[in-house]
Order: sequence, then structure tokens, then C-alpha cells
Amino acid sequence: MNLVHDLIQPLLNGLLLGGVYGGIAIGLSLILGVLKIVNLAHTAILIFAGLLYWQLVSVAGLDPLLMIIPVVAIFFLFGMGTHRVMVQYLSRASDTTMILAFFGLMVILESIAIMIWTTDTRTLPLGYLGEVIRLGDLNISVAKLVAAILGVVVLIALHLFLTRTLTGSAIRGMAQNQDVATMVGINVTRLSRYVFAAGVAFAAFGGTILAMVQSFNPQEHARWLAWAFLVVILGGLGSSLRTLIAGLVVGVIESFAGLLLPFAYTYMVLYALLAVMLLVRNEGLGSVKQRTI
Amino acid sequence: MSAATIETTTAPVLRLENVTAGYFANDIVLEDINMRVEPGKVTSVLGPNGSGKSTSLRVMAGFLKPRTGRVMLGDEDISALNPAERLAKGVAMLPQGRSVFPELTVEDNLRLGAWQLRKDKQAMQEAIDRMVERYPVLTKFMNRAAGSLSGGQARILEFARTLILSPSVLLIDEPSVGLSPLLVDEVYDEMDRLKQEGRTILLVDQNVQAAVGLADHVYTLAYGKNHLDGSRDGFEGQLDGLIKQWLSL
Amino acid sequence: MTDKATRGEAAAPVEDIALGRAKAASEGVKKAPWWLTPAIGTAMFIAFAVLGATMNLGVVTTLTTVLYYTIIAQGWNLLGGYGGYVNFGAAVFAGAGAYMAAYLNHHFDWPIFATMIPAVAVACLISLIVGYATLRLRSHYFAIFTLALTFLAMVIAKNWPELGGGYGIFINFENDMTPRQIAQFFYFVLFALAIIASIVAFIVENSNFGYALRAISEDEPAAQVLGVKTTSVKLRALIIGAGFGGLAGSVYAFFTGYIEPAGTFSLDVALDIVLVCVIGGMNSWLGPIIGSIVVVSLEQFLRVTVPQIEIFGATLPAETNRLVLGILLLIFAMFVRRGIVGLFQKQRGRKVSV
Repeated sequence: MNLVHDLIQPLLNGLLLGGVYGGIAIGLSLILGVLKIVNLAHTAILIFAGLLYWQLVSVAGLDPLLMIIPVVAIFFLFGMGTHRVMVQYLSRASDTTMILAFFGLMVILESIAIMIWTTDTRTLPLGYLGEVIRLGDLNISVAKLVAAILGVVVLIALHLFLTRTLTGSAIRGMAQNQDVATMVGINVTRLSRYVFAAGVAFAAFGGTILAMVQSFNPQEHARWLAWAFLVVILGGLGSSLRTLIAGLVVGVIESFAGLLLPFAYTYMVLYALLAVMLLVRNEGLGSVKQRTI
Repeated sequence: MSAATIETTTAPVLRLENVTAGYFANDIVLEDINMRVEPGKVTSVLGPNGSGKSTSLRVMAGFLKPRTGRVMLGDEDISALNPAERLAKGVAMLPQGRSVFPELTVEDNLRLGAWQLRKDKQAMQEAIDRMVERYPVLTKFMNRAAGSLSGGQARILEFARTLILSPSVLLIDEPSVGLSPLLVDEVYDEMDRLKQEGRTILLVDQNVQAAVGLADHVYTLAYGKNHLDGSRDGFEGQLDGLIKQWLSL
Repeated sequence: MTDKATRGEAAAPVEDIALGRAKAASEGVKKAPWWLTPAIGTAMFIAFAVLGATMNLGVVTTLTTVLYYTIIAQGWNLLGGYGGYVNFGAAVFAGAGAYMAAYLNHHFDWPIFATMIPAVAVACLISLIVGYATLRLRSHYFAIFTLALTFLAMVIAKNWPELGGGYGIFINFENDMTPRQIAQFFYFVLFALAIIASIVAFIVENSNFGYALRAISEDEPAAQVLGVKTTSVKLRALIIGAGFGGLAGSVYAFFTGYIEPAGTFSLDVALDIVLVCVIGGMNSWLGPIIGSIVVVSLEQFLRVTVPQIEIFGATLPAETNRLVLGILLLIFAMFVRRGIVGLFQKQRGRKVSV
């Protein structure tokens, strides 16, 4: 048994994949943890952003690293608008209504994405990111490395923002006790809007780094939703560091599962894990009364 | 040195004028309530469960808008202002039960209490220092999560947070609930200290004896309406009768 | 709760009290006479019967789909509508029933009516497992899991050779009927099942079981505290609903003659059923019937007119239909929450502020 080939390479691949998974999940975790809203449209946003990113890089020929920024910025604005028009209106609605509304949003985004880009599978032309670094027997894809690093950096930056700044404390405080937050003068509505927009922006970011490591098509975005939820539930809400670690764990599990089982069964391992996680982590999310707008 | 004495003459009168309010569309919790909070005095609001005491406090603080009637601060109608805006005008509330951010540190809790000073880092730091000076025990658990504090410690933090912006009016909602008798004494000692400093306080409490003992003026509510109202001296004789009445409801 | 006890009478069981409150609360809403909805429902089914006997093949086929959706939607609406547990499991249970029927027919030549019971059984079994795992938790988790489950079901079906893998299965419907007779056969089988499903929904709606579901929908923690056995109630609603889904699926497999993973376990089916109940009205047994008529008619209309619309010289892609459905769902979720039936129901007092 070749140690490097059978153990270290898959481990490395898993960690790199996991960094991306963390980046994919964080938007969902943020909105769920702070606003108590399940953003079912998360992966629809993610894929839409990925396709937009693909359009800029592949068709317009622009630089892959630079183009992340405008894509994320566009979706931040989209998130602000969506919150004002839809989410705020539904702030006192039941969980049921929220789920329906976000499902509707998911269908809308998915449909528009298919209308613009059809159901063809897209692969991002990597250009200079397509290199492979060789360390002894190890192969490290530059694109996967860059994507993972971006994911890790963003998660750590978010963690620092939430724990070291006053606004970050305000966001966390708002999630923990909305009444007191209102009492001390925090504009909960406005802050919620920024958090929601950030969550959407993170979803878009997730789309760009996913595009770097995978081919994708708009019809299969729902599959990523399960992955994202798995990471979110595994890592628990309230800490982007734990989300990152959860992402890494899922990535490594998938990597090793992929070695031992045919590809389709990897899905099942992860779904089983999701079911187990749901059973074990009995996280009561609370309902309308606890939801931040 | 903290502002130990509040200018009683400049603190405006906070009052409810003919307020009717409720939580649900057809629900009436308060009906035509009139209430004044005199500057520099302690006003206690008493009554049996469900009489609307806490609700009247919430209307004053801005958590519930009156359906009819208005909330006045001096000559200004503040009925339409939300809690944050009222805080900016000097109306601070200490709510019932635990009101800390449980997973944030004590220091972060204080900093958020001074959120309205966030644009001026120095002013914020001075406000925090003032509170630490007033409650030196805070230094012992500045970096602990507020949720891990004992009942008494959390109460101190809550007082500090409520006072940090030097509000002119304090609305205190059921401070005795959930605390041991020893801690209730400590809470009342602290409120007495505030009273000696000349602060304006509106107090709602089930602990009738203590609330009346601290008060300068007393209101009682029954079924959401004004019932009795008078100075503390007039009440001390009637207490036993009132308590018996309320317990049997 | 303690009043009777202090007066010396036996205290009423806690669960009865909770249900009593739910009953009292909803009694305030229903001012219409008890026979109104059954009358409307009966009229509609009479209309269905007449249309089925007299209309041409095209209309009958469309109405067959309406009835098909009605059955699944009635089942879905028990947990999803009355219970407030919106989920995307419709495709999974109907699909499971369809595949069971297809499997038995393709490999063992079972005829249509024989496959019904296994189809219901497998759908109920799956729902039992899924529900047991996820219904202890709150509605978000259940919804998410059913979404993931749909995809998982597709993957399983694609990779299971006995189920035809990616190519699907053909179902052989042995008969010597004319095309019109075949159409009417399926029409009236589904018609009968739709009536049964609707009656079950009506019974549930007016029973303690239905009140329990509604209590869960209103305020689950409160219902739990008051003694409603929420997990058991939810699980029962899910299993009954899944059973109807499986039943409809098995018939539909014979109707279409061919099923394959992508179409059977597609989110589009889940979307359709959710839309049917949202548009029709999730609080009433008439909702799924009305909703099915609206959604199927709308989809038919879109299928015909969208290819004829030209914008800047280009025709709209097929995806437009789906976009319209998504927009419709969003609009209804935001503005017409109680659906068409809800427009005729009296509104209760809404919470004003905190």
C-alpha cells in the first residue's frame, strides 16, 4: 500500500474540497443562525452566480480571480433588494410561508438561469489556474488549492469580523436576543438586511469557488443544498470556524468514500450522514417568535 | 466620577395619557390608562397578574404602540418612537428576567449597551469605565460569557448596561422575579441607591411590600384600568387588604 | 387546567383540553354551514363524472392529470397543509409507488389493481422511516430533508438495475380496449381514488386528528406543552399522505406506460403539488381539488401559448412555464397565503406587534 497515494493524496484532496464546502455552506449558516431563516434558494443563487462567473471568465475572457469580486458585489445588492422587497414583508409570517416563499424564489432563479444559460454543463476554463503542482508523489491542482484557500480565508475573516468588531458583536447579540438588541438601540431591521445580503453574497462566493473545482449545470443545484445543509448542521450554527471544520470533515469523508465506493454510493453515505446529524443534533431553531427580521 | 445626582428639575415628566393597548388585533390589555412618572421620584405600579402592569411599562418603553392615547415625555409626544429612539431621549428599560446576550462576554454586553455611542470610541470607553467604577465586581468576570453568570452577577451586568448611557428615566420590570430573597434585597438596595442619587424610576413588581417601601408614589391597576393612585404614605395601611384581594383573583 | 380539580371534579385529560382549545379557536372561524363544502365537493365530482363520460380524448387526458394531482395533493395536504409542515416529498412517495408498480408489472406481470397494495405499502414504509428520523424536529429540517431525499431517490433509481437504471421501466397494461375506453378506464379509476382521498381529507379535517394537526401548525411548542403527541400525529399524517401518493403513482405508471428516474423524482412534481395546495388553499379539503384544476389548466395553457409568444423575434424557452409557476408560488406565499378557498374564509385577528 502506497502511503502517499492511498492516504495522503485523498486526505489532501478531501481537505481542499472541504475548504470549498465550507465556503459553500457559510452563507446558509449565517442566514440561518442570525436570521433564523432557511434560505432554500441558497444553492440556486450559488449556481446562478457560478454561471455568471463562468460567463465573465469563459465568454468575456476576464481574469478568474478578479471576476469573483463583481459577481459577489452584484449578489450583495441582489440580497439587499430581496430582503427589502420580500423578506421584510414576511418577517412575521409563519415558518411555512417562509419556506414556500424561498422555494418560489429558488424556482424563479433556477428557471431564469436555465433560460439564460440552458441546461448545458459548464466548466470554467482555468487558464493559469489549471496548473498542477507536484510535490513528490502528490498532485495538487492549483485551482483546487486556490479555491480552498479562498474559502478558508473568507471564513476566517468572517470569524474575526464577528468576534472582534462591535458590529460583529451586534450581529451576534441580535441573533441571541432580539428584544435586548432593539432595546440598546441596534437597528435590527437594517442590520438584518446587511446580514441577509451578506449571506446571499457568500452564496455567490461559494458559486465562484465551486466553479473553479467542478463542472456544474443549473438543474442540479439542489444536490448541493444537501451538502451545504450537512456542513451547516455538522458544524452547528453560530461559528464560522466550526462551519469550516465541518466542511473539511465532509470533504475528507467524501474523498475517502469516493475511493472505497462507486460514485453514486458516495451520495448515499453523505445523505445517511445528514440523516444521522439531523437525529443527533436536535437543534431547536425556534419559530416566528424568535426570528430576527 | 459618575453623575451621582441627576438634575431632577430638567428631567421631563414621562406619562401615559388615555392609553389603550393590546397585543392582538381584538385584544385589550390596557384601557384608558393615565400614569405619570415624576422626575427624581420612584413610582411603583402594582396589581394582580394580568392587570397590565408590565404592559404599561412596555408601552412607555416603545415595545408596544398605543392603539389610542399617547406617550408623552415632557411636552413631546413620543408615541411613535421605537425603543432605540426613546433610549436616545433618555428612557431606558430594565426588562423582566434575563436580558443579557448569553453567548457574548460581559464586556461585549456592556459595549453593546453603549451602542449609541459607537461613533465616539472615547465616549464609549468612558461610559464603560464609569460603570466598572460603579460596580467594581464587574472586573472579575469581564471576559466570561454572560450566560454563565449567576443570577446576581447577571443582574449587576443588567443594571450596568441600563445605566451606561446615563438615562434620565429608568423603567424597571419585575426585578424580583426568579431571584432568591437575598438577591432581591441586594437589588432593592441598588434601587435605593439610585433613588438617593435622585434618579427617576418607574417600578413594576409583584413584591408589593418592597415596591411600596421604595416608592414615593404608587399606582395600582385592575383588569387593565387605573384603580388606585396616591402617595406611598396613603398606601401602607391598605397593603394587606390589597394583597388579599389580588391573591384571590 | 386546574379549575375543575380545585372544585373537586376530575380534571379533563390534558390532550382533550388542547384539542378543545383548537376546536374553539377554529369554531370562531367557520361560520359557513357544515354542508357547504361537501355540497361544493359533490357538485365538482359530479361535474368530473359528466365530463369524463362525454368529453373528447384530449380533455379527458387533461382531467385525468387533474384527478391524479388531486389524490397526491389530498395526501400531502394532511401534513403539509393542516399540519403546516411544507415538504417536497410528494415526488418521492408517488414515485416510489410508481416504481413498485412498474417493477412488479415488468418483472412479474402483475396487473394494475394488484400492484396498488404493494405500492401503498412501500410508500408508507419509506415515509415511516423518513418521518421517524426527521419529524421529531421542526418543520425546516423536514422540508430540507425531503428536498434532499428527492434527489437521493433519483440517484438510487438511476443506479438500480432492477429498476431500469437510467433508462427507466416500461409498464405493460394488458387490455383489449379502444383508446377512448382506456382513457376513460384510467379516468374513472383515478376519479374513484380522488373521491376516496377527498373523503378521507374531509374526515380528517373535521376530526380530533385534524384539530391536533392544526394545533401543531399554529404553535407547536404550545401544542406539545398542552399534551398533543405531536410526533405521533405528524407521523400518522405523513404516512397516510404518502400512502395516497403511492397509490396514485402506481396507477399513473400504468397510465403513462413508461417511467424513468429524472421525470419521476423531479422537483417539478414536488413543486406542482405544493403549488396545487397553496393555490387551492391549504386549510381545506376543497383546496387540493380546486388547486389541481387551476394548476393543470394553467400548465396546459402555458404549454400551448408560450411557444407562440415572440419577444424580439425569439420564442420563449420552455423554462418560462416553470418561471411562471415559481412567480405564482411566491405571490401566493406572500399575498394569498390561504389560497383560493381562503379568500372565502373569515380572517382571524392578527398579531399586531410585540
